[in-house]
Formats: sequence, structure tokens, C-alpha cells
Amino acid sequence: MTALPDVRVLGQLLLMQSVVTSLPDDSILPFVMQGLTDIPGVMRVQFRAQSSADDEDATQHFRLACCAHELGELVFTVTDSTAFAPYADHLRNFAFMLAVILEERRQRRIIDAQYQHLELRVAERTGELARERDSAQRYLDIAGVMLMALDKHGRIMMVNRKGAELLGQAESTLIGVDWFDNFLPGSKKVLGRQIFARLMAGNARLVERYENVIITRAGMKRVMAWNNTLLRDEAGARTGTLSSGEDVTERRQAEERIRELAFFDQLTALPNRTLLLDRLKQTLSTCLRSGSQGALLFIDLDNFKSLNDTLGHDTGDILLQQVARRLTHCVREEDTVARFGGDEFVVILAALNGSAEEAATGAEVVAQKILSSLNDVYHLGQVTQRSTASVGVTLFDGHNVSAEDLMKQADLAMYRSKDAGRNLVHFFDPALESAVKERVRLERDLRRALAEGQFLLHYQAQVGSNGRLCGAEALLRWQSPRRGLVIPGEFIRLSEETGLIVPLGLWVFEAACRQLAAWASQPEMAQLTIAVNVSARQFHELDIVDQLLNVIRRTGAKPERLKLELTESLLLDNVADTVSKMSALKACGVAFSLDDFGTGYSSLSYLRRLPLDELKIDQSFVHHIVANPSDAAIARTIVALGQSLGLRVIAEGVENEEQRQFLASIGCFAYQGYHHSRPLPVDGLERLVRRSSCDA
Amino acid sequence: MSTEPHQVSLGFTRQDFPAGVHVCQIFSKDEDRLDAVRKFLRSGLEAGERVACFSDDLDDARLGSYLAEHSLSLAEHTASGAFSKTGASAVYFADGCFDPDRLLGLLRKFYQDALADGFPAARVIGEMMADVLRLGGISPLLEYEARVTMLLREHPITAVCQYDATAFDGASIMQILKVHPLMVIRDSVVHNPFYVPPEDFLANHC
Repeated sequence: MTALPDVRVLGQLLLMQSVVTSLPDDSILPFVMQGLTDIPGVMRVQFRAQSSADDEDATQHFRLACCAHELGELVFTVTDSTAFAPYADHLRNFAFMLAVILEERRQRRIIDAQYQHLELRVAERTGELARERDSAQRYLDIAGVMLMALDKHGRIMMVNRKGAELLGQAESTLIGVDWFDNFLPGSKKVLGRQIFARLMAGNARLVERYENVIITRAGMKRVMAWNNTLLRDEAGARTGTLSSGEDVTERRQAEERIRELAFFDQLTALPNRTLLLDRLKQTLSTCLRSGSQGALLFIDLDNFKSLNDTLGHDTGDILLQQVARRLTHCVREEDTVARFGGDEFVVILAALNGSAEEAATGAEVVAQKILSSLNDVYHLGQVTQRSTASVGVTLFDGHNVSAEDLMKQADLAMYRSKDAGRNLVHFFDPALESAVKERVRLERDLRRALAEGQFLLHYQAQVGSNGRLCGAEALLRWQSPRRGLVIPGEFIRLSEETGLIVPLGLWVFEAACRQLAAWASQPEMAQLTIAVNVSARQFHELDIVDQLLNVIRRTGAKPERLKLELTESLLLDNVADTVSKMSALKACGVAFSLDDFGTGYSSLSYLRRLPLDELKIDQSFVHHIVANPSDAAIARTIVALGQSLGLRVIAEGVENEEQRQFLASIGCFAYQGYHHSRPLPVDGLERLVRRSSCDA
Repeated sequence: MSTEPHQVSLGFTRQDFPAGVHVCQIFSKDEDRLDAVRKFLRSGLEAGERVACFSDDLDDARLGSYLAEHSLSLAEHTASGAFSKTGASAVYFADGCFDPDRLLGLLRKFYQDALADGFPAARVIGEMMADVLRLGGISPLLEYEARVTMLLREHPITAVCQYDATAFDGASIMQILKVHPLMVIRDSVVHNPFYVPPEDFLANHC
């Protein structure tokens, strides 16, 4: 029978169980093995990491096993089995408890190791995330634009430093703030929120780029250009937006200013020519699309130049500003009033209702309203002024006409108003347009003709009272490849208007001089004079004397064989200058004939002052000189006048012998006309001269 | 000198013990150590005893701060002479060696001075340094502890010896248990079944 165990020994086992819980892992087994040696009958206790074979005495081997996990065994070296026997079961229990504790420690070590590993990884990852966050924050902060994330309720989740600066509020205090309530203008809050809500609900598409106005904490309006992306959760649901915003306020202001400078007249703040043409093109497109009518009104102030010259440009500018305001008040809001330049204004009347006739009536009403408004008195500082305008109107429906053509049409119509006496409204006439087009073509052809040498001279003989051919008038002809031979009546006026008359006149003069030089070597031609017509514009060139003398010298023509035919109109302006130039040329031997005499308003006083050599009776008097006593009386008077002033008198347009005889009877000195010869090419004239010599 | 030991509270339980008990605390956590110090000191000071604490790890500031958090003013008791704190190394290794005789003399004097100064009793809580093993092995320590038990019979200082389980190996701790009649285990003061009366212990081991 086994003895009862000693209570003290059992207490030791219990105490060891308590103490080991406070011991470090590596102290437990040494502590226990040391303590177990106090068990009666035991000499030594050892620990084996591997349990022994089954055949060993199980009463002295106590496996440390728990949860099917073998931790080894305690091996007792027993010297007194009897004394030891009462404790075997207790030791088995103790061993089990110890195994539980050791297993728990082992598990804890594993867990601790895993936990430490996890902690280490968490710490590493936390560090990485912190670095990434810091880095990202730095990127966010150094970003030149505002970056902001909104949650699905429109609250700010993130904003970078730039955004906080722009909004005027610390970053930390912006988190959670409702974007729409706090930073959108009052009128945009509700709409902005509605759109955002629809976007978050998946009922609207994200507008990736747009601009809007926000209000900062300080109440400042800023124009923001946004670039947006959607934020989604892992399931793809919309959770908010991420936006980058650039403050483009200054840029937009600058652009607006540039636009104003580029498209608006600085004096009147009206659209300028560029914007006008753009609006006109838009209106044309609209008309074409909608089938509506429009009208273009070209308005030119009458005598504005005189006002500017007499009252000064500052006053003129005030007038223009008042005109601009009046014009604006005469039209509807959808119409355009533009300053085309100088004192020219243009009005576009868009979407005139009804038929073309009704549109014309509508345009006429507005044009008359404009005339009436512009006729009112202007108060220009201390000055009160009246002014009128001429208006040209053209209608359009968007078909077959460009904006530029419309401008020309209105301009032409305006000139009709000017020509018709000003302060009038005229509508564009297509016939007028074709004339203008022809004029443009003619000018182009004239310039080319001059450059390509398409001009030539014909000569009409001048015959003395003795019947002998004494000279010829050089008459300009244009041998056009497209038009054939063109006489001056078709192009001289345009040449004068365009200034082409100056180089053309010089060419005629030089050609005549060359011809004189050529004739000088031919005995039968050497005594002939050539009469050359000189236009007023040419003769008023400052250096005309030098130009002509240079040509004479260059060609070797004898100046005494040259006769310059001037018109009475030439003599009306600056008589002193004219006398001076004539005298200079006359001193070199050049003679002067007053052309078309009798048709103008020649004053006897200056007629006497001019160094003339000849008067030329205009053909209009000669034509009916035989049948019409008045023409005969005029011719007679001219001849008498010439004789009294010591001037030769030549008649042009002499077509028959009766006329010649009459002119001879009243003392006319020479004749020119078809009775003797029509204008001939140079070789024709030369043949005429030779035949005349033979006849003589 | 023999005095009649009076009953004292160790502070861990409501149980009173005769003055002069020799208690061992095996701790592995600092808070267990601190908790024991606080309870032991408070019960002694509240009983008007002279109290000493030997510790290196607990410097004056840390100990003062900790006890102040628990409404115990060390400064006040230090000023009254009821409390003293000395570094454990300075006590145990005053000459660079561990000398049980010197230490026992110190304890004896501490007790005598306490009584002389009018304290009804004296108590000590001290943390033994693991360096003692390096200096002379475990035997001097065990001898010292056994003799302390014997000393306390004549000079009934109530003593708690604190051993850091993480500083001493398991076998040494088991041996140390054998020279302490009482143990503090989880706020319970228990008689130590491993305890070997000092005379027996000294006879078998020294």
C-alpha cells in the first residue's frame, strides 16, 4: 500500500506552479528541476528534449506533453521508490501543468515573435506610409495648383497648402467643410450641389474640365480652372472627386483686356472693325440657317474732317463718342454697332422679320431714325455743334455674298448718299456694284499696262492757216491685250482718281520727247511741234519742272518743239505756283496752250498773268459754229481775246471745210480735227506729212 | 537583546505577521516590484515604523514620484527620519565585495537605531543584485539570507527581499526560496514549503 504524500511536498509542487509563471522561459526548467529534487526518494531530476521509449519505467519519466505537442520529459533518478511512489501521480499532474505552462509560453513566444514581426512590419510600413505621405504632402504642397478631394457629400477631405492659401483658411480647418456652401457664389450653391449629387449617384457624367468662380474666405472672387477625376472605392462606387484647380483670374482678366484691345474701339468702346467682321459673318451664318434677313448700315459723318480741323481732335473725339451712344440707342440689343474707323460707323441689323421688302422697310426705318438722331445738336464742351451723316444700306440673307462684299456694298451705297447731297439714306444698287467692280478691274489693268508698256501715242495733225501741217497733238492710246485699243475717255478719270495719272502723264511726255528727238533727224518732220496734255494733278507735283526738264535733257528733244496743253481747271488752284512753274519751263523754250478754252471760268485777270502762247477753242463750240450763232460768237470772242493778248488761237474738232473757212474768216490761226486727219499712229502721221510736202 | 515582537502588516494583505518576518518576492515585472514597495512602505510608515529601501533601479526621483501619485510623501517621511532610501549596490557591495557579516551588522544597527530613535519597529525592503552571483557565487548569498532569518529572531526587522526573476537563473531562484520562510505571490503572503530552517541550511550547505 502506497503511503500518503507529504503535504509539504505537495505545497512545493503548488508553489512551483505559481512561481514558474513569474519566471522567464529559460529559468523555468532549471527552477523546477532544482525544486523537484526535494521530492522524497529522488536524487536527481533531468530534462530530456526527446521523450524516452515506452519500455522505460513510466513512473520515473514524466512526459511534458500538451495539445499533442511533445515538449520533452522530466526524468527522475530515484533512490527510494517507496518514498517516491506517493508522488508519482502528483508529479504526472505537475508535469502536465508544467507542459501547459511551457506550451503556453511556446505559443506565446511564437505569437510574440509573430507579433514582433508584425509590429516590425507595421512599423516599417507605417514609416514607409509616413514617408510616402510626407513625400506626397510635399508634392501636394509644392504643387503650383490647388489640389482638393471632396467626399460624396461635397465635404473637403483633403486640400493642399496652395488650396488653403487660395481659399484663405488653414488646411486643418478646411477638412470636413462643405465646399458648395462655403466657397461657391450664392447663386451657384444649389445648382452646384445638385450636379454633384447627381454625379455621386451615378446619374451624371463627370465634367473633367471647366472653369467657375469661387468665393474665398475673404470674399474675393477668383476664377478657377478645374481638372477633375472621380474617386471610387474598391467596388467601383463613386466616393468623391479629386480636383486640381488653377487660379486663372489674372489670366482671364488679361485675356479680357486683350480681347477688348483686339476687338473694341478704345475711344467709343464699340466693337472695332475686326469684331464687326466676325459678328457680320456670324449673322450671315445665322441668316442662312434660320432663313431670316439682315441689313448692314454704313454710316459716315458728313464734314467730320472740317469739324476736326476747326474744333480740334479732342472735340472731334467727344463727338464720335456721342455719335456712338446715339447709334447704340437707335438699335436693338441684338444688333451690332461698330466703329469702322475714323468717322465711319457700321450697324448690323440681325433677324429682320418678314420678306425682303419688309426687311428693307425695317432697315429704312432704323436708318432714318439714325439720321434723325445724329442730326440733333451735339454739346461738345463749350461748343454746340450740328452734324449730319450719310447712310448706305445693304440687305442680306446669307446667300452668295461674303462679309467683305457686304461691307463694300454698304460703302458704295453710302457714297451714293454723299454724292446725292449728304444727310441721306441710300440702298445698295447691284448696277453700282458692277460699275465698281469694273473700276477695280480697270485700275488693276491700268497698273499692269503701265508696267508692261501697253500704252502708245497717236498723233492728230495741227494745220496752219496756210494749210501746211505745223504740228500734232499727242493723244494717248492703250493697246490692251484684253480690251483692244482703248481711248483716254475710258481711263483718264480713273487714272486721275487713283493717282496713276502722274506716272502715266510722265510716260506720255517722255514718249513725245523721244518722238521729237527722232523727228529732228528727218528734215520733213524736224519742224513739227508736239502738243502734250498735262493734267492738273501732274502739274501740281512739287518737282514737275525738274521732272520735265530731266526728260527733255535725257531724250535730247528740242524744248521749243514742245507745247504743253493745260486745262482751265488746272489754273484755278494756286495761280502763283502755276505761273512760276510755267515760267520756268517757258524759259527753256517750252510753249503753253490753254486747252478746252471757253468751257471753264477763265478769268481775264489771271489769263493775262500766265505765260501762255496759245488758246485752243474747245470742239464743242466748233461743232455747231456754222449753224449756231452763239457758238460762232464765242469763237469769235475767243479769237479776239487771243489777238488782244497776243496769243495764237487754234480750234479743235474741225471736221469740215465750212468750219475751217469760218474759223479762218474770224482770224483763227490753226486747226485740228478730222477735216484734216484723224489721230494716227506715228508712221501714219509721218506718211501724211510726206504726202503734204509732195502736194505743196 | 530580545524584544517582544509586535504584530505588523506587510501591506499586501490584511493579515498581520509578527515583526521580524523574512519574506521573499520573486518578480519579473517592474510594476509588481513597485507595487510591492509601495504597499510595504506605506504599511510601515502608517504604523510609525522606521522604513528603509535598498534599490538601484528605483532612484529617489522615480520612487518619490511614483509614491506621490499614490498619496505617499517620501520627502515628509525622509525629513522625519522614518524613511531612508539607499542604493542597493552601495549597501551590498560597499567594499566591492559581498560581505554577509557587514550586512548583518548594518541590519542590526538599523534596528537598534530605530528603536533608539523611538520607532516601535523597523522594516527593510531591498532588491538583491544579480551581481552578487558574479562576485562570489550563490553560496554567500544563501548564507547571508539564512543568517538574516536568524538575525531577525533577535532583531525583528520586517524584511522583504526582492529578486528579479529575469536577472537570476531558475536554479538559483529555487535555492533562494529555501532561505526565505515566507513568500509574496500575487499579493498573497504564503509560508514557503521549500523553506529550510537556517540552522539546517547552513549545516548542509556551508
